[in-house]
Amino acid sequence: MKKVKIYKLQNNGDEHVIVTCTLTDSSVVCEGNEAFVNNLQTSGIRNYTDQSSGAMLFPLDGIKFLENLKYAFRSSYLSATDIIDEA
Amino acid sequence: MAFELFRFRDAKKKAEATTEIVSSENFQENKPAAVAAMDTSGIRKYESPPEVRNPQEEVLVSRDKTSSKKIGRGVTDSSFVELKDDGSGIFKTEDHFNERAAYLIDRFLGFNLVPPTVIRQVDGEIGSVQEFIPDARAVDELGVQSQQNFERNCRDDLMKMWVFDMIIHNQDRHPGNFLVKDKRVYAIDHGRSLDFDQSSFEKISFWEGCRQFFGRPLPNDVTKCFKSFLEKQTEQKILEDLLAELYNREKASIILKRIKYFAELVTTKGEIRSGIESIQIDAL
Repeated sequence: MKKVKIYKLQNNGDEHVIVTCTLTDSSVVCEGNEAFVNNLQTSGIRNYTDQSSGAMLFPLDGIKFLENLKYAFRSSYLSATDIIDEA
Repeated sequence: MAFELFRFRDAKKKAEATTEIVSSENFQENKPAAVAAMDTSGIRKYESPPEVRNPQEEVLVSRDKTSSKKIGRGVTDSSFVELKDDGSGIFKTEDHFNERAAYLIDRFLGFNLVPPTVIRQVDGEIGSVQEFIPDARAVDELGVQSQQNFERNCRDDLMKMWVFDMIIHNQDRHPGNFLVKDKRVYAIDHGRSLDFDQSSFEKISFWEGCRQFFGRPLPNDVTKCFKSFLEKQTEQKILEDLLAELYNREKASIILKRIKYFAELVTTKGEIRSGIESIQIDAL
């Protein structure tokens, strides 16, 4: 299954997964930190791969949402993986 | 244990004056020999002079590194470094001059949004080390009630960050790279800013979430910071010299012009109106 994991930098320098987003059929299911998941579902993320589109992306947008997570979360404290194939 | 010590010392330092005047004689006498020996690449020229140096900069630049871990899933070339006896930081080898410059601009303006950031050598590589903020959260981590509290408690800091981002032409502000802790905003990750060529300097960038601030009165604190900056010619010169070491004299001069542009605008009008989306440098 195609997934993206979002990591948060901890006080000791370790990075822990706080949210996992999984492509299921044509939409994405996000699981993990409740507040974070809620914000993804209600506020969405920017569409970085199509700058001309001003519309936000949401889990229901499926693979497009998954593809853009790594651009939306790429700071020192919060970072998302590229899409990974995992059971 | 190192983190507990750091947090205690950090709280103590923050309770004291943020600027410590250190005479150049004391500074040379007390500076660890390791720092002098480390300066084989001439990086001491990037240090703030004693009269404006933040005490936390001294910690970041002089403490031995005890461990480091790669972070960021390889998207950014960053490491988490632990420093002996006191603190930890984020070490970057890409766009590190932008990180240091953003901190300097923030510090000299007195906004206090950017964690202390220095240039130093770690494991043979030169980069920026920025103080790590433990227990800080990104906006995306906040629940509904916390977000409402954040918008109420941190509005002034958000407005400050909005103006700061326009000054430094930050092309990459998003909810993942500003943090919230104890009703304060911490602005981080300024690698994609200060990227000036003649065309991009004539544009400004900011986080869209701050667009609401156009036409709104700016906090008194922001106006005071700019007024104070405009009055301190010596500090302006020091900032320009520090920026010239990072980039070159011409770029440093452009940055100072840009800061003064916004300073004059805010101190005379008290607000920034929409339509400012491009600045004609020739008009400055």
